[in-house]
Amino acid sequence: MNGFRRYAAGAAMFAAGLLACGPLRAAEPVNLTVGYQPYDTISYSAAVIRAKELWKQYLPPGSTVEFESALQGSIIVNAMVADKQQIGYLGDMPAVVVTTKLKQAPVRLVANLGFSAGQRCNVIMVRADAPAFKSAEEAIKWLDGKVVATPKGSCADRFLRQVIERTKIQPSEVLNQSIEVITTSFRAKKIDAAVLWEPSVSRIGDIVGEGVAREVATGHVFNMPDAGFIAMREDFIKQHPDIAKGWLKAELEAQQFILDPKNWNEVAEIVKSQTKGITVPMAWYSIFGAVPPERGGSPLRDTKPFVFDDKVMQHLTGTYTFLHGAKVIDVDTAPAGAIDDSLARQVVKEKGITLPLGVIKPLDVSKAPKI
Amino acid sequence: MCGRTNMSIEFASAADRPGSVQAEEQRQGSVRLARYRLVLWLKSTTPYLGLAGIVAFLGAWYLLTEVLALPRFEKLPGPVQVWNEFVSRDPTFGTSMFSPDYYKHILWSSWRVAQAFFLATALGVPLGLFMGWKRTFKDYAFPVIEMLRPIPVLAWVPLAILMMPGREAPIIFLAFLAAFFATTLNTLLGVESIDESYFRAARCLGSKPRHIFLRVVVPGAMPHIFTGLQIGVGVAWFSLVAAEMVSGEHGLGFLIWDSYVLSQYPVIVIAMVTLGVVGYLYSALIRLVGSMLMRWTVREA
Repeated sequence: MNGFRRYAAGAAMFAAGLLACGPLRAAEPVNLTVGYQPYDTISYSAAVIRAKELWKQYLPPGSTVEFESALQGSIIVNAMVADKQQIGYLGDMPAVVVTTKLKQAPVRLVANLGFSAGQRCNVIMVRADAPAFKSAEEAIKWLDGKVVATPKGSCADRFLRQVIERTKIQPSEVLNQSIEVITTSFRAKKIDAAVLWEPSVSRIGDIVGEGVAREVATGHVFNMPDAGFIAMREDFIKQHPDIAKGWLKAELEAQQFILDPKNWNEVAEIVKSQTKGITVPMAWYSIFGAVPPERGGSPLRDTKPFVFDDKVMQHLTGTYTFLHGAKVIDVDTAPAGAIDDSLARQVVKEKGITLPLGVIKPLDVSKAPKI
Repeated sequence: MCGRTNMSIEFASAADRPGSVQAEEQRQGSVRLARYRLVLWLKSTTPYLGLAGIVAFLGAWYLLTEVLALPRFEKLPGPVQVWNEFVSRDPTFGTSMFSPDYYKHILWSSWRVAQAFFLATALGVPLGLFMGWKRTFKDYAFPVIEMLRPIPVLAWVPLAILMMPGREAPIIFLAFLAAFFATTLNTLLGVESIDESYFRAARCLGSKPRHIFLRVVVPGAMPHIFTGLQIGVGVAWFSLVAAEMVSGEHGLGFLIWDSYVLSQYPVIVIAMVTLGVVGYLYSALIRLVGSMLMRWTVREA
């Protein structure tokens, strides 16, 4: 009996010790591949993480991160679905699309990268020699019967479809062209208008850019916001919850860095270093510059909710419904578990931060760095 | 010295008959020949083995994706999923055999490839014939062609948009490029493969250069020309995806690209299979025309 009691006590202590330890921590180094779009302002935080190696503070020692740059979100969607990337930085449309590919790979949206009044991805540009419009509404009417291009599957594509549905304008053609083809088409005057996102807008526009096109309207005119999201593969989150959380900590720090006006020039320098054809003034203006009101400018350039607040959820819900109606996706609501900011909320709570993280009040272009 | 050679050069004996009668006899001969070859083909094992090959391919696709669901293959749409989407009256992603746009895409692509192919033939065949016949011209032209040939079609996209007027011309140009080099090189090879003794025999018998060109060079190079045309039309089709990235609105290549950026995998497969079938029909048509024009190869066989 004494032997049995000793045995039982030992077993109980062992079990208690196991429970006290909690789940096993993933302290082993990992090799991550992150898809991001340096040619999209929603990925500027990823560019900061990359440049400053912020991830090293939050991932186990010895971990490696490979950053793969893509020109648009759909490339990252396919890479994530094919398990070539575990984390992706996406605009709202590809973010919604990636969550619907359950057969290939369940993917979750885990944090918000930015939420703007259509200042980032809902931008309509016209060719440089188009008439001078007195207002954004006048510019939209001009698109009737014109040739308009946009990269299909992008947040800009989503915006164009919504504008057409709402205003009933009928472009003579809506072309699916990539950013570089649109740029060349503007140069060759083969298209009348395009819907694009920053910083390509700043690059080809007439305020700080090459002047082959002109920004004339944004989503602000229609009260149509745009947003960006971090997506993570579900199997990655389940296998490495601490790594996923660690990445979100790096993301939080990067967004705070971007929000601080003292760092704005440095952010522009970082973006320039990771892109081709984007100068520092272009990169600066794309996220910190004020769009003229007659061109659809809003008092706030961007907000950083970080998590999915009511406005972000409303935007997401509307995007699922809209894309299902347009036969882009096969579901009209988010699959169960696809929208999950629980890790992001944990990160914010542990840091003792109040949300939103901040807003970007844009400055006049005269404040842009010169080189 | 002239010597005896086996020649199948057709001299002017047929010219004794009136032109219309000769043309009608040739047409009837072609029709009889085509009918004869079709019957032979149906009696052979070839079509049935071909069908069995396609069934085996479909079976393997089905097993790998939908039955065994092997790693990597499980992510691909299976034939049942693709077929259900293709025959649906209300397809999930908007493209099926019941959607008018599907046929518009086929017509646009077919028309573009036809234009590119005819241009490539019209320019590539004479260029290849001349390069093969005149050594000096080949010395001038061949290095340029060989430098341009390896440049991928995608690399030409920005220049094509800038150089060519409108939006159709760049697309035709990109598909044309792919077909042009294949046609030219095969034609050149065809001329160079003609036995030198044919040329000597023709010269010995007093043929002028233009007769040698029309009666020796052109018929002698025909088999290679038609091989080049088949290859050319095939590469024009598979360059179409790159070419139609410029188009932005219509075509099977555009449909593939569009479905890719929207991650609509069943539609990608529908467009790929359609492209393959239409491309196969184009090649078959060229083979048919070739066999009608090269009746002597059938006779020799």
